[in-house]
Amino acid sequence: MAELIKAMSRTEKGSTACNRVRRAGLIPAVLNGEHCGSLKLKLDAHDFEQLIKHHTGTNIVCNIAVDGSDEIVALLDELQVHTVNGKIIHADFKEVSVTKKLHTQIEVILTGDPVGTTMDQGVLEQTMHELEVECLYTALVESISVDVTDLKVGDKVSVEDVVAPNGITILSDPDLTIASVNIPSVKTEVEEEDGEPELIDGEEVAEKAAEENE
Amino acid sequence: MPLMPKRVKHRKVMRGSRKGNAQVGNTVAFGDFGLKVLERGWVKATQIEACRVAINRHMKRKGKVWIRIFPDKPITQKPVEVRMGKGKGNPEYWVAVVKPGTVLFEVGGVNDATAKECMRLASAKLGLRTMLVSRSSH
Repeated sequence: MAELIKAMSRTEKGSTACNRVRRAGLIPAVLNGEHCGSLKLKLDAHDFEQLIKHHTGTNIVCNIAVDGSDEIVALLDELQVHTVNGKIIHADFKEVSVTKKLHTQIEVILTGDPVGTTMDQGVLEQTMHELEVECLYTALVESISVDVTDLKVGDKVSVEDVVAPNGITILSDPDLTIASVNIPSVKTEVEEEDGEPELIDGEEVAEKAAEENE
Repeated sequence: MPLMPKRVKHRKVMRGSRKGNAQVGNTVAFGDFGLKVLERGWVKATQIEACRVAINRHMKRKGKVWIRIFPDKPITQKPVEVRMGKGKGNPEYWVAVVKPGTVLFEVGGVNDATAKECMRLASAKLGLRTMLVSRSSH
């Protein structure tokens, strides 16, 4: 179900103006689309953070009402967060069409405990966290679950093993590995000499020569 | 054996600037949980090694650890009771420059409780404020 977002249009642009918007408790955003063009928006920070918090994946379809006008169906395309405090600083929305398929990524969630980790000493390693897909926005799901319960040591799950939900076409390479159960490699610690690293371009020689000249 | 470069271009470098926040290496990229630093500073190679040992000991050979920083900066010191002057001191140890937001370590393939405890133990080996982050956190 698409979430409703009440947005206000903004005219000012640039980092200074965006920072002013953030200080006012809002989040700067943009909406791009064929019909609506490029719209600069500002959203209520608290409401938007609550919306994000209640979704596990990043594929969120929203109905955006700009200044109380007609709702535009859009997909949350990109979310920028602050490096340190994790607060949302910007959101990018992409208008979606009922007839046109969209190209996006869906999160892969592994379910179950593999036999290789419970019975043996294997370690489950997930190498792929997102699948590239193509679908209509109506068929879009937040995540795709992959059952790894039957995996023994040395087994793996590839993209071709994933059953795509109805209406979704997986575009990722079928041979790519999503997860595997491996025995952790035991590294033998080699005691190396605590010497100095080798110099590139023989700078040391030049330094010694300079010292001798002094 | 603490981490250090195999080959370097210059034996001694200047102290350098470390302003701003981490622009790269600020997300959990490989594992499920990470240790994010909230302050700027230098992390010694010996501290990184101590963290690695603490994490591996607690994980008991389960799961996987990723070290996301590398000490590539040589720090020099003058010997004790030496007068000032007579040139720069000798390289003594190696550090990694970290800025707020840098993910230092990541763990994967273990449950939440183990990962959190690993990161708590690693955090105790550092002189900087840190925060536990997970892949799912936006």
